Amino acid sequence: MTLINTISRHFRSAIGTFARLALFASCAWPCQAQDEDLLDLAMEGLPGQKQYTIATFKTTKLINAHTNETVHDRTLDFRVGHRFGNVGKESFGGIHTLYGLDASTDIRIAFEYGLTDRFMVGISRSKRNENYEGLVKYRLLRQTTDGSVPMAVTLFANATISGIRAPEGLYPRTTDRMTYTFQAILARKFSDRISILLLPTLVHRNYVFATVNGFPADPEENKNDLLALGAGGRFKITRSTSLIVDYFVNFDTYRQPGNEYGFHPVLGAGVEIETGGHVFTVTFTNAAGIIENDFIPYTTDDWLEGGFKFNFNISRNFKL
Amino acid sequence: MALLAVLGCLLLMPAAGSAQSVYACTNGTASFFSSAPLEDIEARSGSLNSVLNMATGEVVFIVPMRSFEFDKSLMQEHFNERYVESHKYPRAVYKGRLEGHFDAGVNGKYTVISTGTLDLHNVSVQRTDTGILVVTDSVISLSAKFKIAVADHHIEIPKLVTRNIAEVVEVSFNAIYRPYRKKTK
Repeated sequence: MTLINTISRHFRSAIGTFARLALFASCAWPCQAQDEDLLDLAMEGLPGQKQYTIATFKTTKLINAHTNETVHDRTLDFRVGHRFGNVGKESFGGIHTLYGLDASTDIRIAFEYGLTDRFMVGISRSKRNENYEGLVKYRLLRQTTDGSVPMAVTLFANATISGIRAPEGLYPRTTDRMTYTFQAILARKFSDRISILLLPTLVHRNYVFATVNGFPADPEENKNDLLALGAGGRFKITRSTSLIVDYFVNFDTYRQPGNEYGFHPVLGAGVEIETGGHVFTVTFTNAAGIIENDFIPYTTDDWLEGGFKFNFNISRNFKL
Repeated sequence: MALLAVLGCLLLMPAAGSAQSVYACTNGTASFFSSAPLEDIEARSGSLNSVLNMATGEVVFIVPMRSFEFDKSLMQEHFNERYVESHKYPRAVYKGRLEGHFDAGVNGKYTVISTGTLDLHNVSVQRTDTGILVVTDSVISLSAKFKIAVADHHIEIPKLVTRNIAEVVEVSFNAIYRPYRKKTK
């Protein structure tokens, strides 16, 4: 009796399990399959993966280097760059200038405007040499997320005219006060955190003096054109903070490090902080001038002798 | 028994793959609106993709995050880079099932309730929303308006901009469906 009961119980339970399995197979499986199917069907309609990489850099300039970024369409970027004096005592810094805070070398105020998402124009005025600048910047190539365009290429050019009061005969013609920069900006965003820049640069000066950094110069060797190469990068530490660095070397004979003319490669390093529409950079660099036309020909301070300056930049975007 | 199971499978399969009741939309619109003390922000996408099975009520929505357009392009960049992190999570996906009375064969306006999950910023949230389904001959439209608390999807708003970005954004979408046809490539 008990045996029969047990068998019957097992039999019923087996039937129950089978029935549940059958129910599961007939309902759950097709439902799920259909769900996946719908998702697949919806995915079919999506556009391809090709998109332009965004935010390779936070703003149009790193420290001394321009980035591949331009101001967005119909947006005005108001920028104030402030470069203090040398920090180190050996380079006239130290406590008596409060580590350079009393002796700003350059202040640049700029208005830069995006005519389209790829083309921007701007004007600026710098304290050093009273340089008035007009600039254009165009994004020729944009990196894509699918890798079909592996890097961005942006072209930059400017013209400056110096307003300084010069002794009689120093600038015979007005055009002698003009300089130009032509730059190709190659940039690649390697990952969410890392972006790298490379900047072949030509600075043309309409007029060169008879001396170079106070030393007599050979007129044959003292070229109007200066070739330089810049490199820079960003490493994002948090969502809104990045470490930034950039560096320029000059190929001009007079401007090789270690010779008696006293020029130095330009090195900048610091932090970039973004909050909504503002981007702040707090950096140190040995360049005295903020614009290419100034820091590429005329950087004579040496990091190793305390010749670096505290530098900050504020950028504020306005949609017009 | 095995024969029965096979037969059952064969019977069920065409039902699962049936295209007759499946409707698709590839250019629906989705928009969201954030109203904060300092600023109102609005963004629109014209790339909402959706597939709807009128027989079962199952519905899927996909919006590529990069397709949202803002008035300020800097804001658009921040939205993608800092908030929804579209390089990591490129799409918002909703999978749900419509309930309520509706009939693809009968023209009319139906109020439907959809229960499902919204996967946004890699966080899935179970939700129930109300929408309007309109059947006009072989064209079906579905629209809805609902609210998303950004914190539910682990989208963090820095303290500094809490007066610029709302904690709850209003989302609306509109999809117009036609009978689904397999794409010929």
